[in-house]
Amino acid sequence: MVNPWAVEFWRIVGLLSVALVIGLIAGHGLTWVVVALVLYLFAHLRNLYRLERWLQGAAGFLPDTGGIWGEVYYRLHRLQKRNRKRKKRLSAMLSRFRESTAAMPDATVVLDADGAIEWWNDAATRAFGLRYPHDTARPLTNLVRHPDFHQYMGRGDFSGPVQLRSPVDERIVLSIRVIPYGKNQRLVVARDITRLHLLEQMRRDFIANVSHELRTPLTVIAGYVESLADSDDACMQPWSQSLRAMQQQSTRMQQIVSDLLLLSRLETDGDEREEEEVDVPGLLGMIRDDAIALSQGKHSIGLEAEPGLWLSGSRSELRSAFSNLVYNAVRYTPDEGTIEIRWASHDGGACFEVQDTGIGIASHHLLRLTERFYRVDVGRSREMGGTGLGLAIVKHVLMRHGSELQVDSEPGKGSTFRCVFDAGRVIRSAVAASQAQ
Amino acid sequence: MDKAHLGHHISQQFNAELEDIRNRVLAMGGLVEQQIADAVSALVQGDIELCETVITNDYRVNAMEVALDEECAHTLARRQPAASDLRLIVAVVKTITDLERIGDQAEKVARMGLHLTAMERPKNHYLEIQSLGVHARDMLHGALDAFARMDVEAAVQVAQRDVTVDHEYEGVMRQMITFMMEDPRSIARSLDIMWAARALERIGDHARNIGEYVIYLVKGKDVRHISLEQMEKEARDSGGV
Repeated sequence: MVNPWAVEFWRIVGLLSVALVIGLIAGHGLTWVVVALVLYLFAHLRNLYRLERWLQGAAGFLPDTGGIWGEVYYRLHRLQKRNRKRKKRLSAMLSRFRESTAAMPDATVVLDADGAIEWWNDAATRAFGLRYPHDTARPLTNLVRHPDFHQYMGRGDFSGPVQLRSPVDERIVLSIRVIPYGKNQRLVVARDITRLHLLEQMRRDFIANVSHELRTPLTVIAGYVESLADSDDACMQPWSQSLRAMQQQSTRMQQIVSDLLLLSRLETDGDEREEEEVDVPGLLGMIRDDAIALSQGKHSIGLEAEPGLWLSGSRSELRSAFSNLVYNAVRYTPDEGTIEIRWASHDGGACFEVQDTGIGIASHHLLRLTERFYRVDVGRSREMGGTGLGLAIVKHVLMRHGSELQVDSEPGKGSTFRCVFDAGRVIRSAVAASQAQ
Repeated sequence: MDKAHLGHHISQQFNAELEDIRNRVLAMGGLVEQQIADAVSALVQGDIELCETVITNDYRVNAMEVALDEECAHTLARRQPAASDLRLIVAVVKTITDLERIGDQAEKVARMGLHLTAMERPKNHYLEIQSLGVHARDMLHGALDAFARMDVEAAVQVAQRDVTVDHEYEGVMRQMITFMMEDPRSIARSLDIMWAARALERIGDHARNIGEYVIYLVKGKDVRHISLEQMEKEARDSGGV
């Protein structure tokens, strides 16, 4: 390709030499040179004018004039073409991205730093009743006005979802999550959990109803069996063994039903319950006595409790959680084993621990241990008289007290069940401590 | 008048104040909506606990009204707003008064719910109250949506729905009168249901008022105490401010 600057140079040289030649022939050489320069300048101005018009309208093609202007036009044209292509590609990408987000089944709304709506998908139109384009730049909380949602957005802690009914349709239950991203932007994702909600409710109602319905007939059966077993009638003699077994099993069934009822109560009751000051060392003393009675002297059961270390919570719930853990230790520890119950301060909070030298639990069972009726060894635990609900109750009670169950176990060596309560729940009772001393 | 319109002040602070007032009015509206829904479902299901929650929660509505009222007075004194800003403040002051009254009516429904739990439940499970409650709540929902969106058309629709609620209320009254004539023993219950229905009908009226303030805010026209047709005409008139 020819260098455009060279072309331009030769053009100037040509123009000037023609002007000089004419000037030499016709006289007034300098005037001719000036005329040539003015012409040259005019040509430049014309090209500049064309460029300016073109830039304004950006329509049509620039004529190829050769020389330096031709080159400038050519480069500009190339640049424009490249930009057009890039823009097309970008907008295709953007629309593809938007289409894919719009097709998401979950309602999605993008909020800016002030909580104003920037963008949303079709599902959000249905879930929140948003209208395009009126609702752009409007705060989402103005349109989804449920007090819970307002509180959730104001709190700024988006670790968990919030559940509320759709503002459009009362029957739809939404689970809403907020995901902060980028520069103070927030993504609101709402999922329709109506079916899940109904199922959950049905399950809870079912368990509560079934347990309740079972209790009355069971009480009647257990009562008759007991009176039959206790009667001195000679004709009952051959049946005494069967009656004992029936009595045992009906007691067990009653236990299961009452555990189920307790569980369903733990599940359905909200967080509102009476908070009382629970004297944990005293409670553990009683549980230990019961455990000694249960083991009938076959185990050595120790208790180390820090005096004056109390908890705020529900006494009856804590009692059933702790006693379940201790009785389990008694049931699953072979004779002559040792069981240690500990209650002590731990990082400002408090820690409850039951350690046994029992049969232990293999690690693959640990995750499922707190499921209802989950049994590591089906035959053995029935024999021991467990209901299969103990650890599920423990889990729920601890959850309601802001703690969780930790289990360390090694088959054959023993297990340690531990739970830690945070500092907010611990009460240090000075009176009780001084009394103990 | 959208956010862009509100954001025309040189003082960023003033913009933020106006926006904050609007947001708080709508937050209060959200709480009141929830109160109505809770009160009606508590009455229909005979849920004593929920009735009591609604009654105790009314203080929150009142507190929000007082706080907003004060903030509006401050803004009036400090900024001396004019034109659409002034109309916003005036509309807000009126809206929160109506919202507070709606809150009181919801509380009344909950109180009737408490009374009714002590009596035998009727066979239709308070269907008429439920339906009236849904209508009243939808009206308030529509009025608040209209306020949030500055949507005159939606505000007119709220006024139109008020007619339905009034008809339904009359229906409940006739039904209750018939019950009372048939069986004097049902008078106590019927009276309570009538009070609850009355409260819900009043909620509809207050919601209509809020819709009228929206029209005032957007169009600068006072559409109170005029017929529905005239109101529609005024609202759809492209004139105004």
